[in-house]
Amino acid sequence: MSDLRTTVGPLTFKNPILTASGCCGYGLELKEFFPLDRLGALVVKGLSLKPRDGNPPPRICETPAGMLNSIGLQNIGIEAFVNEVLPILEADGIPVVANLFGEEEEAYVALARRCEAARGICAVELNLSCPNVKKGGIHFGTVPEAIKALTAKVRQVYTHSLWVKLSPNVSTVVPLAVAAQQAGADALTCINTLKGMAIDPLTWKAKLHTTYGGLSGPAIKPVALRFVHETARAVDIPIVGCGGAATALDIVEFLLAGARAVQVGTLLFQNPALPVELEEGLRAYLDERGIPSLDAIIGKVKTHA
Amino acid sequence: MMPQMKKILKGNLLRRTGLGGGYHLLEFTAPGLAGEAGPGQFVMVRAGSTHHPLLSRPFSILWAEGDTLHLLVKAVGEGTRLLTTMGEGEATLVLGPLGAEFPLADGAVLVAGGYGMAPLYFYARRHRCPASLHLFYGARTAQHLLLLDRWRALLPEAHLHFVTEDGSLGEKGLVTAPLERFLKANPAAAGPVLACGPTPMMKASAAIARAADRPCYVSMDEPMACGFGICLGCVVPATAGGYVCSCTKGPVFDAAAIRWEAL
Repeated sequence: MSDLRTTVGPLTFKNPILTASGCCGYGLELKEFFPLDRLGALVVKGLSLKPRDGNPPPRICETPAGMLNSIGLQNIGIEAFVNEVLPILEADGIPVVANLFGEEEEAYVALARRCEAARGICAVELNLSCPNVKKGGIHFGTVPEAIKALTAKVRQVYTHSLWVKLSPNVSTVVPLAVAAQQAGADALTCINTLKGMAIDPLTWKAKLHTTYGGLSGPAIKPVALRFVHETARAVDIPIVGCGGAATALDIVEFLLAGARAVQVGTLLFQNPALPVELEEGLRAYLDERGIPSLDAIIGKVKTHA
Repeated sequence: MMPQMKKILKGNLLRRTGLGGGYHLLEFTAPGLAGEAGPGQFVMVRAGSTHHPLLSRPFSILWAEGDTLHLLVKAVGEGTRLLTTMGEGEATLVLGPLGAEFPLADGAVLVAGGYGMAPLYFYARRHRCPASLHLFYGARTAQHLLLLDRWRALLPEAHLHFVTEDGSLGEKGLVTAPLERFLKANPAAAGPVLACGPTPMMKASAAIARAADRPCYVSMDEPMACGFGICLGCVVPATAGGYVCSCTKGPVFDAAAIRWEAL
């Protein structure tokens, strides 16, 4: 039987199926549908220093093969997560990746310190899609210098695995990926949502309260694959794929493009037990072809000439 | 009560009955799920098998008995069009039972708008004494007042108050007008007002109930991606501050818990 284990830097996961931040809460709801330890790891909803209410509704709308959201990073805050949720997840024996965001570098540093001190977090993933209020609202994730400075500061206080989640809303990704690597990131997650918009042609209204939102789902999978492929060739650190994976064959595509693990997000809304189906489907794919382990397919896409 | 495990299963369409006006009754076999469902709860039903539409659709449960789940569906968009053209014997993903139930109480006053009637029908049918209930049921025209024969079989004729905006059946106007008259005429009664329908109707019903010093519960119908609390898309503004998910804290809410002015 094929070995589904994968490594992301120093971490070993039992399989490459992870949840995507923002699409699995803190795992407590998914637990009602399947045992969490069937996942490679749980990447929890983005955490800030203080709890956040999020944006007014309407927050979501469906789009062709995808959806837009502007939840506004509603979350319970790092303290409630560490004190109330983490002990439950630890008892489930599931590796936990804490997704972190802030509006200034100091917030990320404080969050990372808290994660360093907490038991049961194997990695942090920096969400860089927030505007930096101290730098005129420029997004952390769009400027190489900003990524480098932020990642380096977090690196100083956080000794476990440090992942940086890259935004696709940039003209070129390679300098951003290189900057994160140079500053000490252990892995890169590709990609966050694509900025988009939807309009009701009958009422002329923007469908989201915030006008713009993040596009996710199968609609963005080709973009995600391109980012994974481009980034994997530009850096030496591992890539975690993310963007519209819906089937075991989608997981295979991400692995072929160069991802060492794949986060599943929007499709959990449709089928919360999907990770189990993906794991079984991936195992069947590998078994049928006599592929002994994931290293035999990761990054092995055949390009034309 | 034992905590319920939520179920995901392949629901087979047993029967599809057109009711006219784009409305359909869908009966699914949903073993395990149907037997656990209570009035006010809902299910997420996947429409089609491709990536479009991507998200399942929430439906209040009209009636559940044994292994069979009854849903009232109006074809309005692509998802509901696919569901209302499913062939008998076809299967689709059904998730549930989800959300909170209406509290069972004698003398409850049911306020229904259009196909928001569904969970209230479940309520009346599960009720130990449906003859103690009153129904105020409004819609645009007579064609949009559904399953009236079933209601007549459940409640005394004098407890059924039908209202249409065009006057084609029952009283002409909005359902909230006879509701208000009824509560004023029965000040000593204490049964709760239970409402499901368009948000303005529920907002008005909540205000009328409050003025009459009656408890009021409403079933919110917000756009939902998951139905079980992870997308955080279906929130309503809460009196206690911030937002609450209508899928996990609702869809049935104490009307006093909702910040109506922010809706």
